[in-house]
Amino acid sequence: MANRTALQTFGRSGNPMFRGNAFQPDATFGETDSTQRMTLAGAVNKTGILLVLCLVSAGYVWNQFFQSGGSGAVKGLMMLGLLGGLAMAMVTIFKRQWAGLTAPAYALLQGLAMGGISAMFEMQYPGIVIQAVGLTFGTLAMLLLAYKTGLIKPTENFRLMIVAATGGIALLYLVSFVMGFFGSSVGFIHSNGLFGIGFSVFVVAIAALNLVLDFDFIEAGAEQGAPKYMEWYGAFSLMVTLVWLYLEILRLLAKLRSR
Amino acid sequence: MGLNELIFGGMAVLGIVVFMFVGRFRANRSQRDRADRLKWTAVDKGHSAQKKP
Repeated sequence: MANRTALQTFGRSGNPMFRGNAFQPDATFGETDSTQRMTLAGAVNKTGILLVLCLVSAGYVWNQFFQSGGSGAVKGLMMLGLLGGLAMAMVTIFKRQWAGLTAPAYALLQGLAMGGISAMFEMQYPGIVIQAVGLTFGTLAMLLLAYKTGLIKPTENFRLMIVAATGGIALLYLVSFVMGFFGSSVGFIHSNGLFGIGFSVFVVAIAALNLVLDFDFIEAGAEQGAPKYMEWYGAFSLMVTLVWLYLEILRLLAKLRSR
Repeated sequence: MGLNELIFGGMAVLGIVVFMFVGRFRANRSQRDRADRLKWTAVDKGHSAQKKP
C-alpha cells in the first residue's frame, strides 16, 4: 500500500487525539489577538497542572487502599476513574474547545484509577511503583531532549509506523478483553516468559515513541498559532500517552519481578 | 528512604524538571526546517473548503 493511500486509510496520527484537522481554527480565531494563541510554555504549564491533578487523586485512592488494607474499599473509585476517564477522553477528542474543562476532569478521574492500580501492584511487588514512575518521567525527559535537539525526526513514515503498531496493540488488547468474557485470553500478552516480556518491551517502546508525536503536535500548534484551548488539548494528549506508558512499564516490571 | 526510592524518585523529579524547563524552548532548527516534516494541518479538505468564503 502506498504511503499516501495508507495514511488516508488509517489516519495521519499515531495518537487518536491527533486528528489531521487538529489546528483548524474555529470561526472566531481570525479575530483573536496573539495572547489567545497556543504557546509552548502554556502547553507545558498545563501538562504540569494535569500531572498534579492526577497525582492528587491517585494519592487519595492510594491512601484509602493502604488504610483499608485492600482493594475492596477503592473498587468503586477505580471504576469511576476508569469509566469517567474514558468518557472525558472521548468528549475531549470530539470537542476540543472544551478541553480546558474536560482535560482537568480527565486527569482527576484517571488519577483515581491509577492510584488503585498502582496500589495493587505495590502490595504485590513492593517498590515497583516508584520504579515505574521514575522510568516514565526519565523516558519523557530523554525523548524530549532527543526531539528538541533533532536526534529523532518524526516523518510521515514514522507516524505511519506508530499508527500501525498502536492500532495493532489496541486490537490485540481488545481481542484479549473480549476473550476474557469466555474464560480465555491471548496468553502471551500476560505471560512472564521471554515472549511475554518481549511483547511488553515492544509495547513500552511504541508508547514511548507516541511521545515524540505529542511533542511534534505541540510544537507545530505553537508555531502555527493554534487557538489557546489547544494548549489544554496538547497537554491532554501528552497525559494520555504518559498514562499508557506508565501502565505498560508497570506491567513490564511486574513480569520481570514475577520470574 | 531506600536506594530504590532515591534513584527512581530522583529520576522522576529530574525528568519532570527537564520537561518543564526544556519543553518551553523551540526545537532545534534542524528539527523545524526540513522538507519531510509532519503536516498536522494538511487534512480534511471538505472541512477547509467549507470555511472558505
